[in-house]
Amino acid sequence: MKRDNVKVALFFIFVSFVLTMSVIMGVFLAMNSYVQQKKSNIPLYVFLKTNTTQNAVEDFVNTVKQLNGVKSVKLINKKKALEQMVKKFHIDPTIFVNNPFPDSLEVFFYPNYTNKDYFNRFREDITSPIVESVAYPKDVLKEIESIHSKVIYFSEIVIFVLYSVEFIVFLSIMTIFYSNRKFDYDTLKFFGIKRFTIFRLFLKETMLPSFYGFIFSVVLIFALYFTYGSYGGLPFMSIELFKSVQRDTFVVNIIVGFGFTLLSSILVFLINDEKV
Amino acid sequence: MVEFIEVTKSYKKKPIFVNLSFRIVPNRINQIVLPQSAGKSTILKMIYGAEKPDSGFVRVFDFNVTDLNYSGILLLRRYLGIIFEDIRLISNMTVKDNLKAITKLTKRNLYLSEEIFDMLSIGHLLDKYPYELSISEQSLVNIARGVIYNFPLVLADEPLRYLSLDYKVKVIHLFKYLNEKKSITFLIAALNPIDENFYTIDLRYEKG
Repeated sequence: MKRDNVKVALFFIFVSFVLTMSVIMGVFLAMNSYVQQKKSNIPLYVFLKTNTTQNAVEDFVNTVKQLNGVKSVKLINKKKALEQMVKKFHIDPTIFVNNPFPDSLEVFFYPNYTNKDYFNRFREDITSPIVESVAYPKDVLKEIESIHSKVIYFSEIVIFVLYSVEFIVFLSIMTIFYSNRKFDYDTLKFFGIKRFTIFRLFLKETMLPSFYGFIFSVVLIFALYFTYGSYGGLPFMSIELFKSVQRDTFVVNIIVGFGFTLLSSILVFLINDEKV
Repeated sequence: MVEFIEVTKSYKKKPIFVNLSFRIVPNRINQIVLPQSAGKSTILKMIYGAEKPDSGFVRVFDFNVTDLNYSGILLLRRYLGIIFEDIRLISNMTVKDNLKAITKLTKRNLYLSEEIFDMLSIGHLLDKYPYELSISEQSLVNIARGVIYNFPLVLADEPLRYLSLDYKVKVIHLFKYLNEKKSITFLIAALNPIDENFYTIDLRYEKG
């Protein structure tokens, strides 16, 4: 059979759409994940009263671990705190008659809970009598929150623009596809074939290259995984992270690609098909 | 079977026919003889509803085509064999698929007269695509598609245009055979009379 160039073009548009969008979204998601990781490394410090017993501290640690959004709790006892300070600033330990440090906790939260509002609410909610004070690095948190929201905003804008452009590309190729077939479709109408039957014929013709594109993309994506796993490595993006986000975005973009093919076919048929 | 009653038709505001009236003779091979660009194709298109008259009536199988909605027109076309002047084979179907497309897509169990393949010597072309055929072979397939289902009325727009003399003879023989044996009525539009045994329609109209 003669090569059908419009089908070939649709096939490559589908493949390039799935791969481009998957890689770009994968990179954005990995960036987002990286910033979130950094964000959740910011601790909230809970300083305990100096006269607190060891049992009370352990009970309190267990209570805090159960609280909403808490990822981990690190107990820093007063002895350890003194040792760390002495080590860090090269101070003679004999100058301390008493240990000036209280027991304290470093509470780490999941990224969605690592924000100013939640930290403030958390501080107000801790009403234990053994708590002396609660604090967190406000400036660092503010800075990283700002970076995170900018990353999300930038990613959303870029993804939205790319999806819009891709949809226009799909509409254009479908218009060319329909124009290429119009003469044949009109002929079928002269033999009494219903428009709905012709629409199904058109849909079958447009969905088939997309399906082949999907198969081809699966093969390519596996090749990409293999190559990236063996030789690749973007800065700040582990292979595991790349693969996990890529898998999700790949599935999403396959579905979106089929959706775009279907929607653009319907729109182009509705706009261009005539009752001849 | 087909009757035009005072049909007026213009193209880009230029009248082609004014008060055109004629009727075809059922069970005969009718021919309309008109010069180039005089409206032959337009007459046939008005019969299968691809063109609408500005005024007047076009009656086909007791239906007034001008009154039919699009679904009605599609239904009417399912009982017409059409041989197009511009051939119009479906480009991405083989000859066999082109010939079977009507039954397949309308899900009708129509009788396919395979004797046509022999009469037109196109049996060896069945698995080929239109682009693999010469213009005369494409024309033969176009003719075969128009007559293969034994529809009661066949409309043929300059069917012999691309054929050599020996094939012209074969096609005329085929038309006569189908008319005599299957009682198929033909309406052929041509530049010159095709056969002296064909009934030449007397077109009555005022020139545009």
